[in-house]
Amino acid sequence: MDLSIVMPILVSVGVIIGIILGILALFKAFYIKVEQGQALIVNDMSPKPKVHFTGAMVLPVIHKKEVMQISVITLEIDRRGKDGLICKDNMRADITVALYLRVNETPDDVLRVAKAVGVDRASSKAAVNELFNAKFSEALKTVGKKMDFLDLFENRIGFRDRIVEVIGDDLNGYVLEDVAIDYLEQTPKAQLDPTNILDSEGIRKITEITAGCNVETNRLERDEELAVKKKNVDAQEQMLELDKQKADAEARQKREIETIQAREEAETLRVKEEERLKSEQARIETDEKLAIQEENKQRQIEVAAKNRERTIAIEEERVEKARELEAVNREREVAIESIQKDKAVEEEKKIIANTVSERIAVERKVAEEEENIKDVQRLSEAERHKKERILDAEAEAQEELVKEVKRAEAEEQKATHKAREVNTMAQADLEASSKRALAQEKEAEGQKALEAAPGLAKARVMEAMAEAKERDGLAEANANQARGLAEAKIIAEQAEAIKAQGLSEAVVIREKKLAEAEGLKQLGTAEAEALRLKGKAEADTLRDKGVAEAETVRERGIAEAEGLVQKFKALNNMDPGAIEFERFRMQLEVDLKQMLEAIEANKSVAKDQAEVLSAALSNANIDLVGGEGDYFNSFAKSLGLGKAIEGMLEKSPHLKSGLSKLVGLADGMSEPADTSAKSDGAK
Amino acid sequence: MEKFLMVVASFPTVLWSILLGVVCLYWLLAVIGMLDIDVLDLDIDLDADTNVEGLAGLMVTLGLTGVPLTIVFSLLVLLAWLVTYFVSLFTLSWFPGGWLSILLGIPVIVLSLLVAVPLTAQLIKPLKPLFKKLYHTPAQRSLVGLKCKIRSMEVTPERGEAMLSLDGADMILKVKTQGGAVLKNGETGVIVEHREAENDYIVVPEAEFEAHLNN
Repeated sequence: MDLSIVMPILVSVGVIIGIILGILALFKAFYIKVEQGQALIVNDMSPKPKVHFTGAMVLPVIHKKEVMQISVITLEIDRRGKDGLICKDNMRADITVALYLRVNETPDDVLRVAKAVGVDRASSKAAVNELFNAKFSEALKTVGKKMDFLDLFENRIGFRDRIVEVIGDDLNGYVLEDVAIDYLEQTPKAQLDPTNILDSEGIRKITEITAGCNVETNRLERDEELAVKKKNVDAQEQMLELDKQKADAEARQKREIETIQAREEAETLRVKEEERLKSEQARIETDEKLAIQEENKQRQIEVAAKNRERTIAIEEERVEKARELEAVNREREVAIESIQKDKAVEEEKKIIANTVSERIAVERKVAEEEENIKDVQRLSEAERHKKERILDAEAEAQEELVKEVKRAEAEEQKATHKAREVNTMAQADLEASSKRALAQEKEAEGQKALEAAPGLAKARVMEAMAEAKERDGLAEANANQARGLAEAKIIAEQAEAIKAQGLSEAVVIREKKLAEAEGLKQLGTAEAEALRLKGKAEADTLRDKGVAEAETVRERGIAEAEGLVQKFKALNNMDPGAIEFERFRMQLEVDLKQMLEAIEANKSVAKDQAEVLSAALSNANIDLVGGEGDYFNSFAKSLGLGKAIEGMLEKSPHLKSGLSKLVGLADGMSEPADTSAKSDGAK
Repeated sequence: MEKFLMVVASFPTVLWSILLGVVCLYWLLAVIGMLDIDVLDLDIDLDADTNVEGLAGLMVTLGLTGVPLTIVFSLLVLLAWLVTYFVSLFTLSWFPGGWLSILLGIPVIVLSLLVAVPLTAQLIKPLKPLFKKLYHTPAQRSLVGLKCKIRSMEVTPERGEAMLSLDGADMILKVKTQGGAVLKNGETGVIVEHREAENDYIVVPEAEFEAHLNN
């Protein structure tokens, strides 16, 4: 790249940067910015200075800048004591008024102030004060003299307006923003000059008003005191009343508490005593049981001791018994041997006696058989009689029985109760006696054991003797038996003979009977045949007869019809008397037939009725003598019920009277009602 | 470099080069003035009101007004210098030197001016609004037609006070009515006239003003 091309470009860039920097520098150096509340007045080359409220370029040499305060300025005017403001009503007031001055933010106003006052003085509060103080004081006096003292307080806008009015436009471009009465009081009376015309009037007015006010104030104060005192007294009274109530309540509460405590203590004591009673009872019961147990133990010990003694005694006795038994045995064996000898002798004698007794027995048997036949005949007759009598007796007996049974049942129930009573009594007795018996038994056993020993010995001796006798008897019986057997054999042989004879007889009889039966059979068949033939013949004859009868009837009917025809003909031909007679006769016949028919019908009806009755009666009979006995039961029951009612009535007078009343009610309902009504009236 | 210096120092360009040097010096001093205030005043700015007939007329014609003259002059010199330099650079070999070359240089200078003036006018156009704002003096705003609030007890044809707010600044104005109308404290009136002599304003009640508008 050729430097000759580059360099000028570089130079241009440098120059442009320089220019930009320069412009910035100029701005920094010459652009004046102003704060709010100030105005910048720039005197340039033109005849009218420029007013800026924000900022402007102020170039050196050719421009002149001035900054003026345009914010609010406060001026205070203070008038007190002798210099106090005289009001319309000649009152003097100590007053401090704050006046707020401002410049309108318009170039014209700013320029007017700047020209009239000057920028420096306008920006200084003291200068402004010096400038306007006299003017404001004058305005204040003028306005004050136009207003009453109290109006100053109430009509501030009016006050300000008047001040503005008085001051007018003579503020050199300033405007009066506001007027504030900072301090306003009536001047103290002491500072007023009584010789001053205006002041003396003010003093008079003040005195007038304050005196009245003070009097009123005093009255109010006294009233207040009175009210306070009254209220205090009332309060005190109420407090005392409340104290009294409180004391009352406390005392009552205390009393109630004590009452409750006393009650509770009493209750506690009572419960304690009850508990002690229970515990003492338990202790006593325990002692009692213990004592009883002690006694029982003692008894058991004694009983055991007695038992021991008894067993010892028994053992001793047993030893004794054994010894004696051995002695007896020895004696018995000796006796048995001697008896054996006698027995052999007796046996021989017994064989002889047996044979004799067998013969006698056979004879007795024969006689017995004969007697048996007679007995049988008589017995059968007697049986028949007995049966008749039994049936009669049974009927009676049953009737009797039913009655008896019912009575018995009642009695039984009574008896059962009695029996139970007795039973329980008896059981009690039994238990007692059994206990006694047991005791006696035990005793007896002891006794028995004591006494039995010699008895037993005797018994053994007897037993031995009896055995000996038995042996004798046996021998005798054997002998008899042998004899009897012999006799029996004889009789058996006789019976065999008789049987053989009987058999032969029976065969003969059977043959005979068979023959008879055969004969009878043949005869029967013959008879039957004969009968059949006879029946047939009869039937034939009957049929013939029927046919013949029918024939005859037909013929008769025809004949009668003919006869009637002839009769009627004859009747027609008859004289009236005869006709009458004929009619009467016919009537009679008809009547007779009717009577006969009626009798027949009655008879069959009667028969049917009789049959029905008989059937009914037979049923009734069955009911009466029936095995079930329902009829009797019901009958008996009714009887029983009747009796029971009767019995009850007899035994209970109340029931009787009730029943009689009922009967009376049934008889006449009105009477008892009347009496009851009467009784109600009496109450 | 040698060539650059030679061209810069040679006749047609050297004229602009000297002026450019002066410009550079001025801006350098302005920059230094940033650091050190109260520099020597070399501002030869001409206010719009200054009546420099010929030059001002020419400036206005050329469209070189609306920005400080220093900036215009600086840009003009710089551009002219650039044009002259490049013309000289490319026609250097043709110039034989001597007084002939001076004769030939004058048209080049004229040419450079012809090129630089419109270019400068174009360049300063975007800067104009900025400086216009800076040099604009706040005009006395007319209050006629604005609403104001009465702050005195009443407004009569003799006296009265009203207050109006304008851009956050409260103004207290002396107002009067016309034709016996009276406005009470707190009511709204409309300013209809400003009388310079008494420095007061004529107000009418708002309702009346509205009615007037509708008619």
